[in-house]
Amino acid sequence: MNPGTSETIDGYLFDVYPSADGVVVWLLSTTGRRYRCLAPFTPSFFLHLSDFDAKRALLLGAQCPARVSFNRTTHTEIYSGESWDVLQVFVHNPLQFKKVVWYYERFFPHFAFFNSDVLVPQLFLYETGLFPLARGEYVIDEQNHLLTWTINDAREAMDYSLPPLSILWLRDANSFVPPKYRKYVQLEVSYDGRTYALEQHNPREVLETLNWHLHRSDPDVLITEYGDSILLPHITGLAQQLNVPLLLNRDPHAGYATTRESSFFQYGKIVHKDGAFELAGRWHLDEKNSFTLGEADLEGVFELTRLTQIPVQRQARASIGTSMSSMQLSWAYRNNVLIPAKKREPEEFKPASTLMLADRGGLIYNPPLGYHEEVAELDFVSMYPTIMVERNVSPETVNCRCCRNERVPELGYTICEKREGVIPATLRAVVERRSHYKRLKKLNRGKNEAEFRKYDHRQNALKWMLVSCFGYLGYKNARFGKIEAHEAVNAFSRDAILRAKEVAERGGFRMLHAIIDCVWLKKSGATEHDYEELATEIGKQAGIDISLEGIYRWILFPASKQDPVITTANRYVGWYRHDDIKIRGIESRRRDVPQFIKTMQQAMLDHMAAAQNVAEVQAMLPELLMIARNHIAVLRSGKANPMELVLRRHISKEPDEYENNSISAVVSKMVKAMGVSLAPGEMIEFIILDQSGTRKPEKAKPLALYAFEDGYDIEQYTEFALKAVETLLFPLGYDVGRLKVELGVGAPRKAGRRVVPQDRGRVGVQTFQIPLFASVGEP
Amino acid sequence: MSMGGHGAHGRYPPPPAPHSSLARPVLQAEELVQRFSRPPGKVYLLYGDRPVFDLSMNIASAMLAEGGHVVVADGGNRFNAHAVIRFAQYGKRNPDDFLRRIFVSRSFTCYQMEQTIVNRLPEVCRKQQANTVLILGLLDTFYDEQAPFREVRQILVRVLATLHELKRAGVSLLLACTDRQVLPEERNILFTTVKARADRVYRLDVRPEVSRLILEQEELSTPIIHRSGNEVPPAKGGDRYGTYRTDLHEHHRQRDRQLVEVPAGTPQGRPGTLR
Ligand SMILES: [Zn+2]
Repeated sequence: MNPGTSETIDGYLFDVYPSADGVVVWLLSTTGRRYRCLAPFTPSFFLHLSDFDAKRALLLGAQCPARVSFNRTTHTEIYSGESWDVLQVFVHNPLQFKKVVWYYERFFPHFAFFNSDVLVPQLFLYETGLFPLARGEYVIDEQNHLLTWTINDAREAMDYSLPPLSILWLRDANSFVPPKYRKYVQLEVSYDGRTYALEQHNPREVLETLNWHLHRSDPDVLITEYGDSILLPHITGLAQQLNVPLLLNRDPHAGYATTRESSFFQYGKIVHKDGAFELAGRWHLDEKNSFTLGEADLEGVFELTRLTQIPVQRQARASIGTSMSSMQLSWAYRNNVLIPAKKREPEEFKPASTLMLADRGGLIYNPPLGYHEEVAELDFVSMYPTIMVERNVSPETVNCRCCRNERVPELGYTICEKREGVIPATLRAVVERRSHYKRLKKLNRGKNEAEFRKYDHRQNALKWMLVSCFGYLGYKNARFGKIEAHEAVNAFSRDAILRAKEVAERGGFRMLHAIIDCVWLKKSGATEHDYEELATEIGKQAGIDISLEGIYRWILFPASKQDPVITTANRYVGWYRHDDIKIRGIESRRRDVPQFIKTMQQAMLDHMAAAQNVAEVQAMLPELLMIARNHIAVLRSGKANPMELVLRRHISKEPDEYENNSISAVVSKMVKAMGVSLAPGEMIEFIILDQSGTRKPEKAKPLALYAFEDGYDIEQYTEFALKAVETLLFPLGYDVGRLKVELGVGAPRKAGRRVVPQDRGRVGVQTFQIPLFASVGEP
Repeated sequence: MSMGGHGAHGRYPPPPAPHSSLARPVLQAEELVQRFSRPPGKVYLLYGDRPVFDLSMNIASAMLAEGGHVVVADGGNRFNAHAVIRFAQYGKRNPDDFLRRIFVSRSFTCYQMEQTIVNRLPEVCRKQQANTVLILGLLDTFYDEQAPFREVRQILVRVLATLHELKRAGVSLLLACTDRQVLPEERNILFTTVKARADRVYRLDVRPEVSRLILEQEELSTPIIHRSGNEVPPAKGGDRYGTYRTDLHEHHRQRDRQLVEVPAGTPQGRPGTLR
């Protein structure tokens, strides 16, 4: 090649997607120019076959739907650590990669395939070591072929620059209910600080105006609400119908990459996921279909995309499991480890006696019911990820074939001493990055708001990875997962809590409550310094850092919903001495509780901020009852804002599959009758009109059909309100029955809850089971 | 030994009804247990309403009471250790002893189920000298739509081949599963296949007034493995399965009619596969 014809671009890797001759790579230069380049790339997968079958595979190449070539090589099998002879199959048209895999799947069983179900852009990035948003010097020729590059950046870097991006927002101007519930959408676009309504007279004009805005702003990013499920499918469908070529894609040669919506079991729950609508040369991000975008903004998406090597559009829509999996795949590539196409490592056969020991979750001590003072909370810092990283817990290291040390407490499983597992190897970076960003966030608090937010977003994106990494280890479809690894983590965590308890009790502290990685301790007159010292000692003994969250002025462990004399784990509220409130599991924090009820309970809690101890809480009783009375009076007058009475539920079945007459059944059938399709796992929003169904047979109305004259079920909402008041006042002697009398709300029901005196709760030991596996076909 | 009073669902099953309107014999569970335990070497299918799993746990416990070892491959998270404990306590036996002699592995995907049965089960049976195997919810993981039907059928062929191989080695296998219609429709053929390959088929019919165990199918004279090894008809359009179409275990059956040691945990630990 003539060196004079090449150009060096100082810029960022913006996007990668497959084409017939390799992959299309988009670059954004630091000067603001965009380049579409072509990088030659031949993706490959591996077959582990007998010699005879390997010969057959070569012969079968002749009839293959795309040109293939072969290479015999050796790679490492992850569980045994052995070198395996494998046949590498190169696919010369990356667009046909899947087809070629399918072709071979007709001849060989699933366990012969490795690295065969990874997407081509990711294969390209793993093999080249490139990553989205990598800053570097990229050399291209006159035909825009990407020739070579020098990366002045690293995937591990925590201080990195990002390209300036232009953004265009596209949304339905009426955001009151999601567009799927409406017959018409009124589009508006925003960019450069201005918003334009697309109010043309006919669809063609709307499309042409949209094109004009796209042309004028040429955005790098298109951010929508419901773009995946409604807007873009609808707009592009219309464009096809009216024969108006749209400028959504920056790449005129490429189509749109779409996937279908799906409902599936995850961690024992049915969840719904919208399809995706991805663009070429421009990112489409749907705010309503991106967990990371919602939790951690663009900054969080960028942090993950660099780390996971999943291109931005896919990363924004990816589950946390997919993100973790990608880091593991990348590790596998770097270490020449084969990636099985199907997860198939089963549980080892073990005696039922061991199974019963192993099958327990984290440790839980139920708290004593009621209000308590002088209680401190200590949290183990990232307990599960720390255990995995520090103890080297990974599918291939637990009960490895090379060592014998029975290192896992109670269970006696062995942990490999010879190699670091894929889980710790990939998780370590996440743990370190998060603590680094948390430090920087703290440094910038109150000084530099933009920096503070940036680091907060980054650490938040990583937080969800750390929160989920443990569950994912046991998830049935996790690429590298194994039950024994999951059990080992639980065993280590139980051990840590037990050690914390021992150390605390030796120091004269009483353990009131413990949940997996947090403990609540009490000692009369103990100071912050005392607790800090205790934390240091526990950290030393347990091998995991534990930090003082704070000392409570008062903390309430409310009664369980099922049984008024006991409490449940992870349901509490309290004010810290440092003026922060912590709420878990009670109404004001629950998604399934109407806003009105939350507001009322929050008003009571805000009032309780002034109480310095339990006696002062008790003295506030008349004022607290007054707050409740005022809210309930509004509710009973019929003048509550119905928008604050909206309830949200995830449906578990298709509307037609409901056989009962529950509210979910009634509402989802009404939604379906509107012509809106609902899939299991999707959310419905509704207002209860008559829970009993005696006055109004429809019981409830979906928000989209609701009119103010429909009213609401006063008694039912009063009941919700009374329950929320009871949560706070039950230990002070007020159950729903007594509240009704006190607040003058009708006659008390027969089945009023017994009022028990404070602190009669039981401290019991029980284990907590995190729902782990999606049970297939469970009703 | 009596099966009465152990299960969560009361008596299993009621005394045999006089043969009248019933074309099929109604049996007591004792009969099933006795037939199943001696002589060894059979594949029984027990299906029906959900309590099939309770009944299966009781059958396993009865085998433990006789002093042997039992191996359980669980495909539907159905194993219930508490049922074993209750059974032992009822018979004034030591529950810990029972729990130490029953070996369990749970699978959550059909790929794991295959690996468990094909590559791990023969080894654990030999190591523990267990000649009773319980397979709970064999097909539960096969109904997962994420696994392509074509693949699932091939897996079933390999799994059934191993089960019958174990039978030849003198192991008695009880396959327990619920009776259910699955979607998509085509996957119902999986159950039909399992049923057709069982030596005896029992159906548990639980009703509020009376529960019955019905013998639906007695010992068939069908050969265990056809030379083609391909009981499941190929999909429309005639996919070819290449060398995997033929009986996978032919080589070691020909050798000595004994099981061949399969190294633990080698995902590719299939005789004949070169490494
Ligand atoms: Zn080792």
